[in-house]
Amino acid sequence: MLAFIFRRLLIAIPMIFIASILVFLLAANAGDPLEDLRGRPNSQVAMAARKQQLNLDKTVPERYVIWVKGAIRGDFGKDSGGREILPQVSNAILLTLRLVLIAVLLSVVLGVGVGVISAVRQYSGFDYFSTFMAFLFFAMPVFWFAILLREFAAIELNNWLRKPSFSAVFSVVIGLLFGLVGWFVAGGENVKLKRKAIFAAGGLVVGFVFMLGVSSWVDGKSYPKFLKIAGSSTTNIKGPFFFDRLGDYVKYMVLPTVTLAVISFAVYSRFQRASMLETLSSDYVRTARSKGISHRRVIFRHAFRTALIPVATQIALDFGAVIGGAIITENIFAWKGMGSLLRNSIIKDIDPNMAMAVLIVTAISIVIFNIIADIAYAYLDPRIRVA
Amino acid sequence: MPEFKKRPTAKEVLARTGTDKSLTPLEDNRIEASEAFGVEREFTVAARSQASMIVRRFFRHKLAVISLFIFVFLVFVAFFGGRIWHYRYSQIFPTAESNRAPYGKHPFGTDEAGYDVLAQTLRGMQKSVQIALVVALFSTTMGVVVGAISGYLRGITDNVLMRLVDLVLMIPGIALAATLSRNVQGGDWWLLAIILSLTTWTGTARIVRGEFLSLREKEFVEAARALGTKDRRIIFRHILPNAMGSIIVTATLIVAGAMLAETALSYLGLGVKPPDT
Repeated sequence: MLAFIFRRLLIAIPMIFIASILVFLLAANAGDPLEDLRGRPNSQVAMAARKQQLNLDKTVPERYVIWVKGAIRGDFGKDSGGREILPQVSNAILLTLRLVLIAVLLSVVLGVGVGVISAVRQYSGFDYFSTFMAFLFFAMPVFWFAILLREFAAIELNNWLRKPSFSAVFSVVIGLLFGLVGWFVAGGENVKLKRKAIFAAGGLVVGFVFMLGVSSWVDGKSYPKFLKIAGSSTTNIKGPFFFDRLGDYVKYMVLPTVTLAVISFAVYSRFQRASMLETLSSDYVRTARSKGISHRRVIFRHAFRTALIPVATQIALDFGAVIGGAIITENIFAWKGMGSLLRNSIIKDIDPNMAMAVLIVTAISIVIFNIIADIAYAYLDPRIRVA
Repeated sequence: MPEFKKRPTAKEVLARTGTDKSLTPLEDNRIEASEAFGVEREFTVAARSQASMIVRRFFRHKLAVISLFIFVFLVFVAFFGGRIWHYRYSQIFPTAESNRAPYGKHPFGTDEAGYDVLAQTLRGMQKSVQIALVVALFSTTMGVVVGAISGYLRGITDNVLMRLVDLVLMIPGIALAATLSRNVQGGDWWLLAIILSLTTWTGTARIVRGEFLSLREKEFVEAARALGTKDRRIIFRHILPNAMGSIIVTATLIVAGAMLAETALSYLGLGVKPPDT
């Protein structure tokens, strides 16, 4: 195993090197780095200064050599405004991680859970419902979903939170929803109606009690402008400890996290359902069943692990890529993470050094997560030997 | 699993099994002939019956037929809708008629500038469908060829090709799109299709490679090899049809993904420009 990791890392070094050349070519040819200065007063001086600073009078290979020499020492140079790049990028990485970690965790847990349940209870009501939801979310462009969330869900919710209260109809609907969950939890087609009814009634009771509790708790409280629509934290908040800031972070994180999570949830649940179905019909699962191992044990100990492999690949790739920035989500919710750095340096204005730093960080994280995915294979499926 | 260094001919196989020790020239010819035509004929007959079987099964599935109708309708609307609808996408209506909610004369309403939204939608739909189909075709072809070669030949070829795939994965599509769309003059929808194909083929390649790695060890491939079938024939006639299931699934997902990617790029200002979005 160690040898495998070592060898993969060894291959990764020339890979990153080649990728850096390709990415440098892209960044160097992305456009005119002086564009934002043209037409301004005193533009000649500013342009000359920037040319000097970014070595624009040298050829691309020469600039690449300068860049590589710096990068090896950990110096990514300065951006077109003359600021150091490294602190900006590391700030952006932390911000993006804050955004992405919880979203990925949420979507993996939900996606895998829903995928497994809908595979085990194939063609049940739950299966059709989750399939419908997955396709709905899958078919929505990110920016569309994010804008809907911002314009309707968030603002409505904020208005409601100013003076929260629950109507009777809403309470009944929530109670029924709990009852429905109880019905599904009770089991699939072969379960007796009596058991289902008991579970549903239990769900109903739990739902009503829950609503009673929540509405009495919420009564008379007010949370004006609870969900923040833009930005990643309140600027002047600086508690001494992380936990002081946590409450503030959460307000900003809800919307973008939900956006990211919902869309990857759709993908993961479909993947998980497909691979779980395939594993459940495989020979070794049938053998395990015929040996008399309990249904639950077969599903969790025998099938689940193997069925995780395709999702593990997808998750690793997504995670690696998303460190490079969730460009659209960050843009809509005005986060200054990796995505907005990339957008500002290659789409809006042209800033070769900055673009280069973001792109190389992305490339490295993708390589690392690729290796992690391969290691995960061997851990999940003992039939696969990494060598 | 025995690996054949040099692929044995039918004659050698027969000689080895001892069924026929001395072949007359005539019999030898006959074996050659059966190799040349027998397999071929058998295959085409099987394919035809299989095709009709698939068609029959498809038309028995109600949901599938309904989906087919909807799909054909949408493609038809995408390509001919703009000609049938009596307003053009470039037509500007007077202020009295602009920025209105849907009503009888403009079923989708009009925007601030006074364009008919239905005509705009039809125009955009055509471009989206065009791009998506081209991307699906390009990237599937490329992914299948690379994945098939990589999974079938294994060894160093596989290693080199897979590292190439990794390399493509490491370069974000956004950077590619940003650079190419600035540098290629008159970049139309086909440029976008090429950019999207260049970034999506890797997924297909990985999946096809995985299928080939397991299928190449199956008995029927060994049998084909024992008959002296050439590599190319084994790849495309024996293994590929068996891997078709997952290829079709990824191709359809690429169509959907390409449309979404195309709209996302347009949102960032890198895709096709209005009125084609």
